[in-house]
Amino acid sequence: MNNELLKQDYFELFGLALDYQIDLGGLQNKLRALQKQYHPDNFAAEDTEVINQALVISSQINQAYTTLSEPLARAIYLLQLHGVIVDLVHGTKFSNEFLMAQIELREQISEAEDSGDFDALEQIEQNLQNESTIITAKIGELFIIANYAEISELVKQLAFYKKLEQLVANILGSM
Amino acid sequence: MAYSNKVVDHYENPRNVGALDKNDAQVGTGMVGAPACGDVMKLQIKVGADGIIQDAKFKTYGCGSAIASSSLVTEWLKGKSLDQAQAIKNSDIAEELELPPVKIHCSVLAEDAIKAAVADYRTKNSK
Repeated sequence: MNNELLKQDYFELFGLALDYQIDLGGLQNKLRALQKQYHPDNFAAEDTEVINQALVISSQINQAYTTLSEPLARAIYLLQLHGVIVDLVHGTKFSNEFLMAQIELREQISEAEDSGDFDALEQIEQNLQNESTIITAKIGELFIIANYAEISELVKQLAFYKKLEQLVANILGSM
Repeated sequence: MAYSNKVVDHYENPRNVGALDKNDAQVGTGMVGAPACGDVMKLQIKVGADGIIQDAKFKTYGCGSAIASSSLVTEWLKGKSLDQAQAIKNSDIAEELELPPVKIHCSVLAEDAIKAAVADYRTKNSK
């Protein structure tokens, strides 16, 4: 068993360069290969210690995949590897323009929810996903030029859109 | 997670929900957001010629704790001077509402909203 795996960062674990842009299909293939390789069943004949190690590595692999496959988590993690911690709790200042847009979105969502307008909610969900895609693309460009301050701001904005996506998905799910 | 009775009270009967005219020179508007939970808070104060806050209104999109925090501070703000308003700390809010640690950021949001509203009023009236 390769103990070194646990010392690797998530990108190394998946054999990736430290790039924000990643190939999600490739990531999934690598996940399957790693899961197969380190599946605890493969070590059933070994000592308890080895089996436990395989369990730890398996959960590390899953954690790594979850982080890398999700644009927001991946950005926060990659910033961290570059020594930048994004404070999602105390960073409450945003441009009025951004916050007004957030309030408008919230109002649109609650209006659509109150009137049970499924189509409107789906449209809002689509708009939110488009916005997230745009922000994610910008974050990718900024990582290339290592503008971590700007990325931190965009990560915070992306967190808002992800929350709203979740909110809309929950409403749609309960309709 | 269970909310305290005080949070539930403010959440079910929020005080001072609404808006003041943001173009009024007497009105200061503060808008803040919490990326951790996606909450957005707008807090407005109306300041009299004597420098005392006469009225406060809020509009908050977020969880019960965020709504309760903003509702509570609008009650606290009335009758206070701007300096007294700025002295309100998030720990005061969290203590009053008995917020659990995971909801402390809601009280941080309310404190920052007060600071932003006072700053906006002062900028408007500095000329």
